[in-house]
Amino acid sequence: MNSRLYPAVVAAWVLAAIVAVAASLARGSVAVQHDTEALPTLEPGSRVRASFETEDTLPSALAGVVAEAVHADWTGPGGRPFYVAVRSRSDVDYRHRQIGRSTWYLGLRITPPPLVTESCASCHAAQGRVDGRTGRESEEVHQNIQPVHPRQTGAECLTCHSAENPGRLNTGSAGTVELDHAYQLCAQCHFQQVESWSYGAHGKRLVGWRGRRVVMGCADCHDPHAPGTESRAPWAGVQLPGRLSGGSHEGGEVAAGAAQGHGGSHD
Amino acid sequence: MTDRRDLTFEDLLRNAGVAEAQSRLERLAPDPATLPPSELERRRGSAARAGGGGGCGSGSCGCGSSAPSNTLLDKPLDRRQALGTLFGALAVTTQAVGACSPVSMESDEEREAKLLERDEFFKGNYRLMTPEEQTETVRRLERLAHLRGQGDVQIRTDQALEGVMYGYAFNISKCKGFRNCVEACVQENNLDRPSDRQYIRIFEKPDGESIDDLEHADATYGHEVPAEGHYYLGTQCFQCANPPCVYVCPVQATWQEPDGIVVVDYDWCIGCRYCMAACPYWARRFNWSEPEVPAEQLNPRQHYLGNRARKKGVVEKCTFCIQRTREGRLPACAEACPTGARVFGNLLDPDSEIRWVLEHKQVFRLKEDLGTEPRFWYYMD
Repeated sequence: MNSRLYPAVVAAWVLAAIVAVAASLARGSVAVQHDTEALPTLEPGSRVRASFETEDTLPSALAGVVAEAVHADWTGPGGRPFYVAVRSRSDVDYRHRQIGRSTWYLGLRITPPPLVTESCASCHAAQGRVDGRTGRESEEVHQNIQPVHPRQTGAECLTCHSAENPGRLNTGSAGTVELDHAYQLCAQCHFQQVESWSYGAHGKRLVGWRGRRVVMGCADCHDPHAPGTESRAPWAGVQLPGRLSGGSHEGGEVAAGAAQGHGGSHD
Repeated sequence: MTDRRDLTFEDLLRNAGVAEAQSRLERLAPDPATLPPSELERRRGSAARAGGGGGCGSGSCGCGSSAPSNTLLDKPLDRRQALGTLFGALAVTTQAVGACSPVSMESDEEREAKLLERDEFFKGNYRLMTPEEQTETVRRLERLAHLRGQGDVQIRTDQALEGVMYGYAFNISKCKGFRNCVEACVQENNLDRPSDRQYIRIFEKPDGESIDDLEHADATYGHEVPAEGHYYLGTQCFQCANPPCVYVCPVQATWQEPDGIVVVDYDWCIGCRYCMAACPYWARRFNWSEPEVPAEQLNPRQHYLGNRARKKGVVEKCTFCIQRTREGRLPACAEACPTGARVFGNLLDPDSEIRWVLEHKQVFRLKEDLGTEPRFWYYMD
């Protein structure tokens, strides 16, 4: 072969290789879509701010869910870090979710536990005293709190809240933590629930099934002072004015369905 | 006047809708002037055969037969396309006559809707469509929804994500029977309101009673929940890995997607309901009437295989909210559950929440002995 052709041949080979690699990349080299994609790992304790709005791996359809989340001190499935949504510094209450055309409140209470909008220290000065801002006794100020849980367990305010700063929580061995890390306080007793929570078998995940894993904290669903489930009437189906009860031609089938335990929804 | 029985397919085409046929021909066929003489001759010959061996097509009878119509008949048309063209031509003629008549009240929009409906009626099976055809049908459906006053909807055709197999886990220790999931499902999936259509059922069972005996469980409770001494268990479509409903469909209107979701092409379903008989979980629903959703409640974010408008006489089912999950969102039921009893994720990802539940909790499935392999597990704390 003419030696002057060698450079051209080599160039052609290189070009072909590049094309092949590009084609394989275009077909998608990612074998598995990870629930928790390999996003840049943040330092423990750091906060995610823009993640809900401009998360690079999330579709734009999710834009608009604005919340802030803090890097949990623990890890989730596969040893991956996860984030706990922060209520006090969210632009919107993310416990309300848009489904279809309706907005839903998520949680176990009929009335959502109040968001922590003011810092505890605005009243509680150092050393746990109430300063002169209101002058009222703390029972009066905090009368919206139903102390169900303390009564059940024999606890009092300062069992969980730090005496130095009620805005921090006692966790015993780990000292005090911010309200955002309340799961560490809950885990002192409810270690099984908190284990399930950190791996996703308990609690709720925000935003979607993939991307950065952001979960709701304990106090988002449970009122920390009255954590049980309130009983209430279940959703009773579509209530349309003038709707015929029983249906017309469906009657036979509905009756048959009910006999087989198929009631509740019509065929 | 020619006896109708003597009309050939070609005659019908010509008589029925000259305008429509011609415009189609001009788009489909090359100008005969540019064809080589031999090709032109071949076409004339075949058209003459099609026309009964004489008369039309030869160009000598003066009936207006032209080369383009011959070209159309020579094109390899399948039966569906041919019928579509024929009926389209008929429709156009009818409309043309109607437009000339002084009593016609048909507006341009009604006419457009009819044409779109015609195209929709003659389209193919969704699985056999090219991506372009899928886009076309979706555009037609969106336009039809607009013309019919059903609002401006966006219908997506997102394909299955690679490396994803959806799985679901349901915590029977956590469910309290509030039925928020059912309500969310109804709203998200545009389920028929007058018949109170629901995909999800929540059963109430006394503590300690076997799960196998769902036949006698109460799914119609109306009292406050949670009731003392009872537990709750929800069912919906389990997207079985071995789906009997898919095997029995005589027209392949239902199938399993690569991500495990069993879907229905509502425009291909013939409403035989074999799938409903085959499903051991009563997961499918039949539309006895045209589904109705108030315009202000209609969810406009739709998927072709998911929550788009269904029609009377077809079967529908839960699709794990295909319009949400293929965008990375959670199904509406999982999103709305106030107790966190619902876990959803990718079974192929070893680091997913669903995989952790399957590996660390006691799980079971309904009617496991049937071998349907549901991708929906129940677990306990």
